[in-house]
Amino acid sequence: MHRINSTSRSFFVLVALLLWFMPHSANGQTSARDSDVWRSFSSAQKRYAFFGFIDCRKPAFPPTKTIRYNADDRTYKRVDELADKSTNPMGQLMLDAMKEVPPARADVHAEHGSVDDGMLWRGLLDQEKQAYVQGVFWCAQISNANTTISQQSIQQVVQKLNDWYVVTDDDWKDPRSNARVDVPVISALQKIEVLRFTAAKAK
Amino acid sequence: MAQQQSSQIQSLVDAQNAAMSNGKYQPTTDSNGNLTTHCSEAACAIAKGTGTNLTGILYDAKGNNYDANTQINNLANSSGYHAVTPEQAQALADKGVLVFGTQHGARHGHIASVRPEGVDSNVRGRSGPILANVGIFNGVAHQSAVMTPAHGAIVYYAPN
Repeated sequence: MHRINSTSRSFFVLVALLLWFMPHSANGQTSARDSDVWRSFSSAQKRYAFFGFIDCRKPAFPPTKTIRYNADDRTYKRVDELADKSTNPMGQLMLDAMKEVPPARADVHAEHGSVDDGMLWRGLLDQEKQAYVQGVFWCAQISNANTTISQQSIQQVVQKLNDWYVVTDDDWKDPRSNARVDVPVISALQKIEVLRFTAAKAK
Repeated sequence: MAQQQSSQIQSLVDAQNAAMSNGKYQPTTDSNGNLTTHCSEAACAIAKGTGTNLTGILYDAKGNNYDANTQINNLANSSGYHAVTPEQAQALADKGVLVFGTQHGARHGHIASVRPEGVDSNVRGRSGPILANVGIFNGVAHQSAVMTPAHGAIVYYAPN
């Protein structure tokens, strides 16, 4: 009987670890792990997962209607409910939840029009950054050929973005900091070759 | 005197905590990726929470907030407020004084109150005064994680 030697055992452990840290595949149904990840998120992480999801979805599927769905606490709660009874991919659940929750009335007292850029990236905590990238991955999961994402772990992508935005430059002395701060995170993900979009066909 | 200052610090911290954790002030995004943030509303709430009357500066007579750029212009033109250095801003906040960090913006500005030092263990960023930020994220952060000089002058305003 063939026995697994220690080298082979190490190989299998390595493969298992790689599989665990690899991002979710860009097709197929949501694994139990996706919904577990969602449920494990804090309210803030759910918010930034949606930010990443929407930022990723927008370039591949430019809005054709004037209706703007909102992602807010009601939407996160609806995803909780959908995740309990559906095996659809997490990105689909997020999309469904946005469409099911009525748009909120415009808040006249708020500030509007910012985008998720380097300033957001600098301000987020590490776990919020991970949630943002997870949201991008969940978007890619349901975008078929329109959105392709490189096979890297979420933490690897977070680190690459930290490096690209030079977040360690707290005094804004590195010329790259100010040159890149206004670049949307989703564009930065393309620049560091994590994400690639191809235009969706018009219907 | 020390007791009064301690109570003033606590009042400021409580008002900031209430604003940062207020569900109404959390940033949201719509399906087109447009963000809605609430720094100007939070500035009003913190002023009111600390018992500071800023009618005509941060909000109108009905209590409705002005947008951030208007608030910043009003602070700059107010006889009751003056610009201070970042170091002075932090020192005053450490005594419980309500001080605002501001940045006038082309589309919209940003305003946040300065947070007393030593209250929080997990502060985002590393340089500049500490701010109780309500905006694209709600939490305590150094200036470097909230504003970049590339977006315009960062000015702190303290009461006379």
